[in-house]
Amino acid sequence: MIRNRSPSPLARTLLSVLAKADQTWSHGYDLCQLTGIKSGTLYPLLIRWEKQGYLEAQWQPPAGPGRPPRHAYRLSAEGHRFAREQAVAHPDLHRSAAKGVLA
Amino acid sequence: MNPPNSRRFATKIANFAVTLLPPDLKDWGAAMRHEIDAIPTPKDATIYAVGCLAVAMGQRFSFYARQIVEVGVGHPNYLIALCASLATGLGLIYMSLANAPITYLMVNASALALGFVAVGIAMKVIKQIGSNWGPVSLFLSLLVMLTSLYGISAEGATRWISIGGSTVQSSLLIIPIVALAFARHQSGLATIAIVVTALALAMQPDRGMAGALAAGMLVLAFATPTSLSKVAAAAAVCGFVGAMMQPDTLPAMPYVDQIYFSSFGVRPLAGLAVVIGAMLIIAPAIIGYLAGGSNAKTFLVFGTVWGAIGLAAALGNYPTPIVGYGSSAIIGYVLCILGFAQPSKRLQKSGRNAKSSPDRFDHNRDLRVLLPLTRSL
Repeated sequence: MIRNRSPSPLARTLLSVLAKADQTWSHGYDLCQLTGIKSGTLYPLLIRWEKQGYLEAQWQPPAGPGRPPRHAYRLSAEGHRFAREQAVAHPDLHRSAAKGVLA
Repeated sequence: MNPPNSRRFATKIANFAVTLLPPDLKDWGAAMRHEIDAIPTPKDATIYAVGCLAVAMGQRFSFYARQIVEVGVGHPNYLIALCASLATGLGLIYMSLANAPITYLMVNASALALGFVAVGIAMKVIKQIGSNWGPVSLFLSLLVMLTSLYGISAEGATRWISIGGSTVQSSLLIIPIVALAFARHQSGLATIAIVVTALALAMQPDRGMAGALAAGMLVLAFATPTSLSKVAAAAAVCGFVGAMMQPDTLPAMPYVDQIYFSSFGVRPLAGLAVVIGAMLIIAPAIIGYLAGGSNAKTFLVFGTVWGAIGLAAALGNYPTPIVGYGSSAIIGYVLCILGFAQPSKRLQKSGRNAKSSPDRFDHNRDLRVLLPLTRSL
């Protein structure tokens, strides 16, 4: 059962970063660095949003020899709509979060 | 720790995290594992891996919790049996730590076994021939009445009977199952059973059980505001008022009453066992009610009745259910499994046991019973 609850400030920060990335795929570690979110908080959010259909995930081939394949993420169309709703509902937090992490 | 070792440490943590994740999240485990390999510094990789381990532990806990809920909703008997066993076990731990006589421990353990045997036999009967709770509830309520009239007395309270040399409190054995039966199938006879039980409780100062019945029936009347549930709630509240008007001078019994507080005086571990046991008693109700489904109202009454019995034990000199010494509450709790029992699929298909379907309500039967009752008021 997936609950549809209001996202926390950290979740909204992550959402804004993914929204700004648009169609570009992001990796877990990069998202942690961009948002300041720890991996222990990041993955439950990604898992939940993927189940809710807000997030697309795909395996990407290794970037070079000896490098591992990586899981990459981006918002789905539904996820972008959700992000816009959150941006409208929390404009200040969304703006400051996006400025802070994407500057 | 030098960098290569630290990197290996991060990898080991990540591998352990992957093994902890539930089967449907194994792909996410691989994602975490490969992401750690891509992190340039061992220190960052270790911090990242520790976070992933926390995720895996949380997801595994959530997985087990979901499984328990699914089993509990699908098979309330398993859930109640599990909580009864655990709470009784915790009660035994408390009594051991409190240096209770060994016979007390044996009585509680035997009561659990006896309860399961009784339920096992009754379940077979229900599966084979179905259940008709109306006459059964009425019969049980008459036993409570007979106890109030002719039972064993102590300090002005008459609520015990002697069975095979053991003294049991009939209200603790009977009232929870009678309340559940009424919640499951409101019928004229079941309503009369509640009225008779309430009257029996009003005859002597059994405030704890009278309060439990009143709480259960009030909650049911709010959840299912039918004419019969309102009559039952009114009768139960009257019974509670009657019980409250009589002085209850029974002193607290060691290992039975007031143990929520005294157990912490024995040892913190003993207090913890009692508190966890008390929470386990109402855990099936919380799980079953929040999950919804056809048994939700029965779970609601189950939780309210046992919660009120526990509250009474905290507020006054009333038996602390299951974790304290006393066989009646343990058997009464286990008997509640019968309140959720279903007849066999063959019987359900043939419609012979339509009466026992959960939360079913017969309006015509309601009116036939209610009219004489209201006329007599």
